[in-house]
Amino acid sequence: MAKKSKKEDIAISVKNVTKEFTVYEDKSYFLKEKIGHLGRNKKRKHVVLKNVSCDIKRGQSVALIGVNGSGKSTLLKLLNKIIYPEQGTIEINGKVSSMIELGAGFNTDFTGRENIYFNASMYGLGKKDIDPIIDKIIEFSELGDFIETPVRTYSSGMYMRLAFSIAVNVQAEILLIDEILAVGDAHFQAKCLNKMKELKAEGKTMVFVSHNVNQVKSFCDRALWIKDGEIIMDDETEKVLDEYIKVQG
Amino acid sequence: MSFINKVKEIYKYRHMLFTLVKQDINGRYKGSIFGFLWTLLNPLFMLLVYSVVFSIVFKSDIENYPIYLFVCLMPWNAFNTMIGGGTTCVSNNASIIKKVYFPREVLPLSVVISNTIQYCFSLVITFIALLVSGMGITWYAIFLPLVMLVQVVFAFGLILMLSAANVYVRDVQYMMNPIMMIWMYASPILYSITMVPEKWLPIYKLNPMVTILQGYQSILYNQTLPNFKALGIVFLASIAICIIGYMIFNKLQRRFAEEV
Repeated sequence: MAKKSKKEDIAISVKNVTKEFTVYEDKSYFLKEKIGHLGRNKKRKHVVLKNVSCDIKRGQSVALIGVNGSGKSTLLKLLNKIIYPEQGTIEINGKVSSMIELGAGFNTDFTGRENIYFNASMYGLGKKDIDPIIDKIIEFSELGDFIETPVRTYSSGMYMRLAFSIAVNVQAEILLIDEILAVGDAHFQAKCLNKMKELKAEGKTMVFVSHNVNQVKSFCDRALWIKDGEIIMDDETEKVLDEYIKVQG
Repeated sequence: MSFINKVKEIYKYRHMLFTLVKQDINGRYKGSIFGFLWTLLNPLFMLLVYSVVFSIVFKSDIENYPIYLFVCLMPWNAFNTMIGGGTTCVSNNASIIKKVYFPREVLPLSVVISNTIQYCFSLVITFIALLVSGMGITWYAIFLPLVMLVQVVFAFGLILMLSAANVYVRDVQYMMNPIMMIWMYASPILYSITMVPEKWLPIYKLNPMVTILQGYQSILYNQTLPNFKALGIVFLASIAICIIGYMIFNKLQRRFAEEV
């Protein structure tokens, strides 16, 4: 019994995960090239994550920090099941909402409103689920009348605002956020951060990739420092950040 | 993930599936004046051209040739478009595959559903042609959905394999053009199966589309019962192709986001 309740407390469990990418010097999509490249060892394996393990408790906000190319985003994509590990297992307990990239899956020919329905459908929400919250989403995005125009006419800030508004309103239990708050003006950034704090207070689990030390500090209880595909430090945010700043300058 | 869990998950993503189907149907004719009417207008023009050409210029031994042709050409066109759209359905959606999680099977499923819906509408023209030509429609037409089901299941199995393979080797989508053309001539659409030399028949009949198209011919043109036994065998074979296709798709889909 005790064991079971413990398992339910864990939102994300990563065990011994290794992820490699095959790097092609010249990626071939066609058979002719594939055959031509045979024997001419043009590809090599690049290990992005090495034997990574971590458990994230329900309600915890965790920051992934590290320099570019250290494997933070790869870990986030693994958590989101967009890609799969070569070795190891990942267990997710709860509904996931992700902001891996801005406006992923927006159909640019459709209006903002239509895209809300489409995007939310990717989180498993139907029209009936969205109708009651659509005004909230539109209001949060501050798009006003632009919601009725095709998304292709949006600026990157508008794009991001719409994407963020959907992602935080689909009632997920786990949010994966990859450095998207960099876009948008200070006012909207602050608003997003507030919304995220609100969600945190509601007990949502969050994994957050950011280079913005202040954002991480104000928001996350725990930080994982990833370097060259390994977690080299896993502790309270303050401690990890102090160490990180000391080393990276 | 077990098959049962997969089905449950796809059910959870049914809203996405419906949205994709709707987008495909609405989006196809977006910006055109006649919109969805083109689904009916295209076959109508095709019928008119064939009627003129084959009753005036090329005269065929087959009685009522334009109708004969039309009865099988419509299902073949539907099959052709379905396979064409299905083959590229994963590779053309690279942007969402790279960024969002969803059961990837939703993509081939949406292609099959939206094409089946359009196919059903285009059949209206076939019925009109049968009525106008004076051949009429008999009660055998109630077996039409059965033949269509076999065709759609068969196409779905192929699409599972082709769409997954096309992510890794783009030649697949280009290879399909000549293959579909050869396949069309290897099926009794423009000619009758009675014209095929007897010694080739055993090989000729290995093509599942022969049985399926003959099903349409029996029901709509000859106005008899279709060959249920042959259709049953093709149906079972199609189920087997779906199972193999699912296994291939499932295996290959793990690296879709990296390869696409």
